[in-house]
Amino acid sequence: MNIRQLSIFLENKVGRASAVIDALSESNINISALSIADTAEYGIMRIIADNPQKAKDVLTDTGVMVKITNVLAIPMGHKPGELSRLLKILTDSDISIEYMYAFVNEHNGGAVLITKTNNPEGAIEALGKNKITPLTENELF
Amino acid sequence: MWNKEIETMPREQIKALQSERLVKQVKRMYENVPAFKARMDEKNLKPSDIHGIEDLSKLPFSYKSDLRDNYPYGLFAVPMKDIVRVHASSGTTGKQIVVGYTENDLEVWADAIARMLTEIGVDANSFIQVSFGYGLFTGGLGAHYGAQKVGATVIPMSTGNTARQIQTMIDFGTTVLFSTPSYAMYLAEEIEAMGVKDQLKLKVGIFGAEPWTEDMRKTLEDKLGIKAYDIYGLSEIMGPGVACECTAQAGMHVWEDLFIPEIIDPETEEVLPAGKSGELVFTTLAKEGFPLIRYRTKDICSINLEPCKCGRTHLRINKPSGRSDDMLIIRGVNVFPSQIEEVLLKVSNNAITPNYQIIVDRVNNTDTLDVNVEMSESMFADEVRSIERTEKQITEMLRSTLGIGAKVHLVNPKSIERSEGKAKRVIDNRKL
Ligand SMILES: [Zn+2]
Repeated sequence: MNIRQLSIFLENKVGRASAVIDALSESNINISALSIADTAEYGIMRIIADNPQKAKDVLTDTGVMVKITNVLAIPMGHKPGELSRLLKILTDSDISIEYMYAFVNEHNGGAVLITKTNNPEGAIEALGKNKITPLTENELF
Repeated sequence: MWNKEIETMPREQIKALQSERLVKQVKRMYENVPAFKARMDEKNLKPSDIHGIEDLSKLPFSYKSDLRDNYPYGLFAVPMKDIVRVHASSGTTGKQIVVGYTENDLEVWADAIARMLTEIGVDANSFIQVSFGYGLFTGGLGAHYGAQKVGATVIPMSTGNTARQIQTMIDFGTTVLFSTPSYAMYLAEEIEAMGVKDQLKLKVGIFGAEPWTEDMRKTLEDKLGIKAYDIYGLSEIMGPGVACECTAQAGMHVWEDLFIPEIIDPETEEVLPAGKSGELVFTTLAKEGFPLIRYRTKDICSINLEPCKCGRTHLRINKPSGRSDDMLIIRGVNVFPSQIEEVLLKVSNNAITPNYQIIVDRVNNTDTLDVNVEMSESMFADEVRSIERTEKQITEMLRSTLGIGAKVHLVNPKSIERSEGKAKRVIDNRKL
């Protein structure tokens, strides 16, 4: 039920993020969602793309440190209150969220929450009880 | 053991033997080597001033340049009729140097290697493939006569022709391989590619003549199915066998009946205590043809006086970790690139050492030290906190290892400039 996310190390240099994006677009890799976490010095760019393994190879070749991380893609309605409902389900089951970001999914008109938790199995179980099933990569693209 | 009496001699007795041999050797060199006499005269020293090893630090140092200045035979202490073999090495700085051996010197050399071989289980039943170069280089013939001394079957392969090396290993049933670690790595990769590992009978590898790391040891042991041992030597002092690992694989025993090692601060020339890193200096005690007093090896390492598991009483040196030529003085502190390398190796959990670059500069009359470290697989995780933690860990370990602060920058893989495949390690921008 996990999907693969690219976690990319960004060193402290101007133009690093756009170099990553350029390399992916030159290889015809489509990015569905992206977020950047940073500190004063460094950053991690997290990307959901349609061909994670190819994306990793392309980036590694251009000298970028990239790892594939498993995350959950949880479908939700594109309307007020949906995100807080999801978060409540997770927190009620004592699942803590390491990070999350969301995007609107053009296929179903709904939205998707990407999240990494301390307990993926527990999260899937808690969501299941509420009739929510995380998306697979096939469903996402 | 090959020579139990010598190899387990109580330390007090070793010191007495060293003193006796040192006094005799100083006298003999003073009488027979004009360049040495001149050095002693400069210091107003007479052989009678040297009563034992307690006077060692009074004696003048000798340098590689002495060998070049007295090329070819000027430093030999016996007439040429007594020299039965010469070896030579070219080194990196041009003119070659020549060393000479009497018949007895060759015996002593073979004996030193036989001690090591016996300790690591090599004997008359072994098949030893010597894949060091034969010729003027000391590696090939040095290993050869040591191997012959223990009665093993010697396969004098020399270097090159990798396919034939591997075929020979298979057909002749080689159990012991002598080579440089880099050539062994190459052989191991070829053996893996050919898929013939299970046709090999290799048990032991003895590698030396160039620096290698613990991760290379692990790789070689895995890929070849062997125990890999380190052997140290330099032709000026004898050749391979000056110091050798035992089964404990924790430092190399220096045969102290044959050599006195000292560790000095390469700047102040002060002798450092056991455990401190500095330049390794050797005095020979049994060489007839070409003895040397306090020879500056330029190799950086430390001495370990702890008793060894194997029962030998002779001290150990750790693996040389760099050259004193590489030393930087930053804010008055001696810094070796190899110290930084050790820290990085620890941080990456002894996986592959990340590439790094040291940048030294002077801002407002103060030296600055920046260390760029290429991000590696084992250092990167999908959490901002972990990146900060890695950086902080490197910074703190550098401070405690070097004794000065450094600014650490994590950079992209392969982003550090390389020339001919090798990363440029040090950039010193100070205009001094
Ligand atoms: Zn030992």
